[in-house]
Amino acid sequence: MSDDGHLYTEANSQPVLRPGGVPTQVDRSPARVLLVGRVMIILVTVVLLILLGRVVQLQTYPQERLASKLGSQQSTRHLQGRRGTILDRNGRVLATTRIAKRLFVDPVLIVDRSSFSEKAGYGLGYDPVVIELAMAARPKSRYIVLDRRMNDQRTELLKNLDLPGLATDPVLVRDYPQGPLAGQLIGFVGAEGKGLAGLEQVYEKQIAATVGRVSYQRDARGRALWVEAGNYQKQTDGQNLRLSIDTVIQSIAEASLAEAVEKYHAEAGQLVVMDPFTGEVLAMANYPAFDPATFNKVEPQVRRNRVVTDIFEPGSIFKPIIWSAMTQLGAADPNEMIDTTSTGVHRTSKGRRLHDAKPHGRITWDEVLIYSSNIGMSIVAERVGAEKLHEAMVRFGFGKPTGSGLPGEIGGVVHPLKKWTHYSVTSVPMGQEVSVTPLQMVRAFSAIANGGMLRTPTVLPVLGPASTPPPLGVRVLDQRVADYTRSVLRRQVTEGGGKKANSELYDLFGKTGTAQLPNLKQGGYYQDQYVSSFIAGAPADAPRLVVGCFIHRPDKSIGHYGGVVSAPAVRQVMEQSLMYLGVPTNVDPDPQAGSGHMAMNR
Amino acid sequence: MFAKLLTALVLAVVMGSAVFNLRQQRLELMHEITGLHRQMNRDSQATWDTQVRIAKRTGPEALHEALARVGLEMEPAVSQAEVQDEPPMPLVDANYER
Repeated sequence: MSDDGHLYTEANSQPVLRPGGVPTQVDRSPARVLLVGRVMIILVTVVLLILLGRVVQLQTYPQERLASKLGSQQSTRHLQGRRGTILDRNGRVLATTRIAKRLFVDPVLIVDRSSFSEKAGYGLGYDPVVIELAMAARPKSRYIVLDRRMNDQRTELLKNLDLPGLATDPVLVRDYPQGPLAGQLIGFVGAEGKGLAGLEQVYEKQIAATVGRVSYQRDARGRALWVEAGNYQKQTDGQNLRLSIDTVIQSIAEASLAEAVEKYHAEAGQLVVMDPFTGEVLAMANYPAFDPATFNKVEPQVRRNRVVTDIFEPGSIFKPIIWSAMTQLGAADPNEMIDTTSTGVHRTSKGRRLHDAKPHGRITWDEVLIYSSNIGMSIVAERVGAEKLHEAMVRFGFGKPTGSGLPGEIGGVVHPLKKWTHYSVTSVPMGQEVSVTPLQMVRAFSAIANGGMLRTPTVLPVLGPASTPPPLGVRVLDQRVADYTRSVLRRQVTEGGGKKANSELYDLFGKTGTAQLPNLKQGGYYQDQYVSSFIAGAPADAPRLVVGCFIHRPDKSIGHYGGVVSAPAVRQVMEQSLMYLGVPTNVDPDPQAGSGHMAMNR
Repeated sequence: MFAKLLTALVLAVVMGSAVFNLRQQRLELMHEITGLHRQMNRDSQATWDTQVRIAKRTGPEALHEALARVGLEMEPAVSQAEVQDEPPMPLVDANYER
């Protein structure tokens, strides 16, 4: 026994206090320790197994009460992919997608209902009455949309407006930064984000995005914690679409077209700019223009790309096509004298009476085209015959779509031979009894400009680092005939009806056209309704561009001839576009002159 | 025996702690990744918005107006073509085969 009253056993014994403070001895034999150890191990194991079982149960079959709580701590969101951007040939944005803010009201969160509409309205620039009406229309809703797409100014104002009940929601919107530029060509997308017209529709598969999905684990306050494996599905952005359109040339084309249409109080107009060697369309303008962002505010016919969807009788601008084809066939020698009569009236072999605008007497075959003589064209056409004429038209691509791939493109009208009348042989060379689209006309004229190759027009870039060489095209004219036709058409601009298109800066070659509109109800033609056209290429020695301008129903009291109404617009577009492309001019342009100044400032 | 048991328990606790620590690190990383992912989404959406603003302000009409506003005179970047010895148009033989 020790001094403090503890009892000690052997070396492995410990003093144990008994009740009353008297220590007693504990059994520390190996057998007992082993037993206690085993019991402890078993107990710990059992506890661990119970815990493990509980974990497994929670992970696999949690109780309903817990499962509902666990579920509420996950939030699933859609990941919006970005629809492909539509770019011009130089990478300028024509159509793109961005996130806008949708403004809505949650009436439950409003603190002061009586003054809410006034505060929100005056604070953000809305009519308070409209807000009040919107809320009254859906009294039980917690999501009352006030503005589907807030503008930047209102978004900034909202940041400084502390008004409970107002909130925003991100929403994908399609934006057209250039406004109405090339609106009919680009088209538009609907509320669901799908392309409904134009290139937005045609290239839907390529530019459409796919939606992704992500499920966040959230904390008690709703903050995102993490994403479990398998709860993430990536979104895919759509591919960008690069066009052959040049925004600057498109802008020049639209401005010039609008100026011409408005000046002559016309109904509508189209203007096409094409590279004759590649078939690339550099500009495709329609008047009236429309902004794809507000497509539902304009009439459907305004949204139509009439460059490919509408046809018209081309009139005299068709003559270069037939003239070159007949020249190639050898129906007339360029220096051959043709009697177009001194009265300007001629009766064909089938008895049809034809007029020229004014009598020309005996003129050469070249002058037939230069002075746009209907009589001269009909005399030579009768030598060729219907079959060859029909064949020439088909060879130049008339009567079927050009293959541009633009939506709604039609092929125009070329009557089958069996439907030709006695008059057809003399009508077709004047651009009657045939209907074409503006794009078909520009395409066929491009064959004259490029040396005789008919190419498929395209709005996608042909030349470039990532693209293939231009398609070969189909030869429709001998190189010499095409070159010669060009030289004659140059004279049409300097001596004939296209004088208003004559430019000091560049040598244009072209052809005017003033076609009467057919009266579809009573037959014949209207005497006061026209399509005034001019189609030209430049520079004459090495053409870079072909421009066709087609203006429908100009006011006859102001002017209706193609050489008056459309030729100035074509000259303006040609001069500005060629200067923009850096094509050397014949004379130094005057920077103070409107056209040069305008081109460089664009 | 007790020492062994204690050692085993301590090791178990250490291992458990390590496992828990790793799990916590994993969760924190996942949280960080999630945050970064959301930030990336926000940034890319801001980039979209910026692209639209740039496109609007650099369009032909916008540039035209801006230049007119500041009164900047621009001269065409083209010059007169060199005088050519040859006539520009090919003069071809007029006798085509009939």
